[in-house]
Amino acid sequence: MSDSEEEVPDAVVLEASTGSEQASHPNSAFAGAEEAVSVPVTLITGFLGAGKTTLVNYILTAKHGYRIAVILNEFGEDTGIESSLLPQVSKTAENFALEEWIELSNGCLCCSVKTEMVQALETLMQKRHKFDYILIETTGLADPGPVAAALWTDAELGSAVCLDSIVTVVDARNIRRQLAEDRPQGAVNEAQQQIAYADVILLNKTDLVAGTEALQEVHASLTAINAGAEINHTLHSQMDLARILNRGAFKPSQTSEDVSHLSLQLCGAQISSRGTRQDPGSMTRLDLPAACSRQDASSRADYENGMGSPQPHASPKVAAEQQPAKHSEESHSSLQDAGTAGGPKADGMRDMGLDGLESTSARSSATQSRPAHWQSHIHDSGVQTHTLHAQQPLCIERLRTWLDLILWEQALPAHQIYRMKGLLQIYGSPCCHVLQAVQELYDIVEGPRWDATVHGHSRVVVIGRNLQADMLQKGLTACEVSELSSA
Amino acid sequence: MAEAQDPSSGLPCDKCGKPAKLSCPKCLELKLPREGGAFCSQECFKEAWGQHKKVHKLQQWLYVTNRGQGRTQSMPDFPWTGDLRPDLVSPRRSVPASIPLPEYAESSIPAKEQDSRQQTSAPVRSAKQIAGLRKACRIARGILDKGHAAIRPGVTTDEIDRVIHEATLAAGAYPSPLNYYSFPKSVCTSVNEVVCHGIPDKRPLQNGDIVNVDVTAFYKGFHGDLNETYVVGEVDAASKKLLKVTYECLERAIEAVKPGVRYRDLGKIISQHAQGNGFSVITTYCGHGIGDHFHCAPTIPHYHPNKAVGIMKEGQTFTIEPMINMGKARDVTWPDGWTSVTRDGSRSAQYEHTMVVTAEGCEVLTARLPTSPPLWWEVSDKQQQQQQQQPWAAEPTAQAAVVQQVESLPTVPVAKDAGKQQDQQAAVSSAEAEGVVRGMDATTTNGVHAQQE
Repeated sequence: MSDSEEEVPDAVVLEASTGSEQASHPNSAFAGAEEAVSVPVTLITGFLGAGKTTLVNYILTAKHGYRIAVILNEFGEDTGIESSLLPQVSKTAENFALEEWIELSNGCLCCSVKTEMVQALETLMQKRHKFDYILIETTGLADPGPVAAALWTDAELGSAVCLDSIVTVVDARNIRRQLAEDRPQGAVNEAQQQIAYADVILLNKTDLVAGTEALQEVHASLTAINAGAEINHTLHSQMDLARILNRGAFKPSQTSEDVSHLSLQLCGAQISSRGTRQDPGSMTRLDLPAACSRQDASSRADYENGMGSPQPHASPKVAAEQQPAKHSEESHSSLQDAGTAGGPKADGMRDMGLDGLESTSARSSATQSRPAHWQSHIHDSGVQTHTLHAQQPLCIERLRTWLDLILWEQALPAHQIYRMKGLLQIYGSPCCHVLQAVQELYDIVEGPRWDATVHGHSRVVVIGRNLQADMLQKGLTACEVSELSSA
Repeated sequence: MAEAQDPSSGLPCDKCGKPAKLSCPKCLELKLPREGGAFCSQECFKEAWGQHKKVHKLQQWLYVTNRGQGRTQSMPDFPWTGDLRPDLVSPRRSVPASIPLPEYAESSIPAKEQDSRQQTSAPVRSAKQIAGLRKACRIARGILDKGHAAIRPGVTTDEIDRVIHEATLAAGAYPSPLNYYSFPKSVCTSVNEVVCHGIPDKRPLQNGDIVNVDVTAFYKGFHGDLNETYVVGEVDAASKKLLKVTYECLERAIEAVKPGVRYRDLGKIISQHAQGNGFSVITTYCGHGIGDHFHCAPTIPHYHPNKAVGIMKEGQTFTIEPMINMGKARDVTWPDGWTSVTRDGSRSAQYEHTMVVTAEGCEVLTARLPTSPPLWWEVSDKQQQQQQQQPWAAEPTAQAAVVQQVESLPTVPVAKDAGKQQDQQAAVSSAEAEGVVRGMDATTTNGVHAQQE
């Protein structure tokens, strides 16, 4: 045998594994590690040129004590989340030279509760521990809905990131034109959509709008779309950062301060829906719109006749048209079966305004939020706000059923609900409850005890397209529990 | 150093084509075919080395990295949370051309499934689709049972993978995990503190271990998905309790399934039972819709409260697969990018079924069969005693019957006549569940551990 004198290059030695090479770490780095604090994420949206980047830079350079990571979320031709490119950390202030791609995190995508985006953000937090705030800046035409829904993870997940709020920056000079732009049939106007999803709106470049009245009109055009958002007038995207950061709009528990903010907001919603200019402080009693009063009588009668005792009960079944109504073994007070099949079930659905056959074309002007002179400028398919009321405490299970039906089951024809926000009086609870909904996700979260000074009745703001106030109001009213019918 | 080879071997140099005289020593060591590693001279060998050595990698047992896309020769660094360590993983197993492949089998990316994830509402399947899914689930059940039968101290999880892989091919099916997002193997084997997605490797199962075997089979366009956790030899009482309680969590959740129930309510049932027994519920991974895609809507968290979207409707198909821990709920992923372990190193168990919502409730499509080897609490005392003395001995007649049934299933890959295999399998199972079945076990007959030959 002739041996070569030269060594084989790159000789690779396979190391034998005995399985016990690695010494067992008595104190694993993970065991006993405290639950990671969740880093708030603010989603910043708005058209190109509205002032988003100015806002981001302003936040980064201001003295707030946060170490902020900024993510630019690029969307491709598709606007779906899963097909978006990897979030890219942008280079911003001098101290942050953060041009880097975030590697997708370790972890299975297939049966994970968290989306790719959330996992990517968690990886960022893991790798660069020094961040305690995240801003995600979306591109100009992006639909913030799916992004927000993806970020709004269940509290139980203990995710490293949590959705804080959605901030929309609006160009005061151009927004009316942008809002009025036509879209092909069925398509939504993106500017309207971005305003619809906002918790906070920066009405920016106000110096470029001539005259107070003109500015008020612009402001009114925003509240016509979203009566639940806080609107701030700004120059150069500058404003008190405490009103942008850490808003806690999606927190799993709400403090008194959160609730009073929301309460004011919803009072404001009521005001704008009436087109008056009352000072919120002077509101002492909210009048129900006329349509709701009519509804009250019939819904109470139904309730007393067979809907059962006014107690929280198990989720009733949803009966498809083909299925016979089944008697719910959990409770007698399910909506669909109060006796024989068919009739009461249908009544129950109709009661909530959900059978679609009884839609009235007349809209209650009291709950319509568009100022009359504006109606001609926005198509009927535009985004609108409606405010709903309930004077009586609400049964939480009926409320959940109603929300399930309208948000998931398209129970209201043609309705596209983007967001809901509400302050609720729940039957059997001394605490107020806060309702938050984004696309199909919703949550009802307990807040502090009702104050003597705060109104004890429920208000819900609904933002979306093709909304019919009376049908929505019917549904909410059907969730009321009448004190008179307690057996 | 290249070693001399018989010059009259007739093999050409892998680099230049001239008659080869030398063999790559590595190839010899790995017992690879000579053809790929023959060279005329050390010079050619040296020149070819950069390209040639890749052949070795393909045949080597290596550690997995980068979510299955990478391999490395030494164990990665990691603050391991328990006693378990990753071991070497065998080369990728092949699938004959006759087996219909899912969309990701070659690309590793299920693009259509990703698109479908945009939808949050679960599809309602037609009777025909449900029949297709039923078949795939029945096949998956048979495959899992074979894997179960192979479990014993000393058997490596790689060996379990081989059994599963071959049984899957024999049934004319594709093992869904293989190359799904680059997963390297045909089954997930999760030992002790591994929550899920464990990669089969060289590590032998040890007396006292618990191991979950998670099988998914892709058959005629549908995926059937199920898993069970088994005891290996003698296992402590606490682990046994964990297994039983986890199984009960799944049972109770299945009991609740019927049209009109909210998907979000299942998490309450599961977490109440788990936490009532002092255990915790993994939150990271969830049950999922299944059908023509491996994973689709709905998403079914096992924890509570949750914001899961959807109301159950007749014809919707999905899995429930609670992962329950002895200790705390948090998990972390190993450097391989797949294996999920408990952060505190405590043991974790799981059971899974695929089901379809029916008018009255649901049909468990992956239900256990009378031939299914028993779970630990199903083994009678007498049988337990016998197994301790002679693990393979049992009632002769019962064993013979089961062995006969098992052996009648083809165990070698058969390219043609997949139809014949189906008929054979249909004949094997005497009390096969057809129609509406609520329970997880088709009958209450105890099976016997059947050893795969």
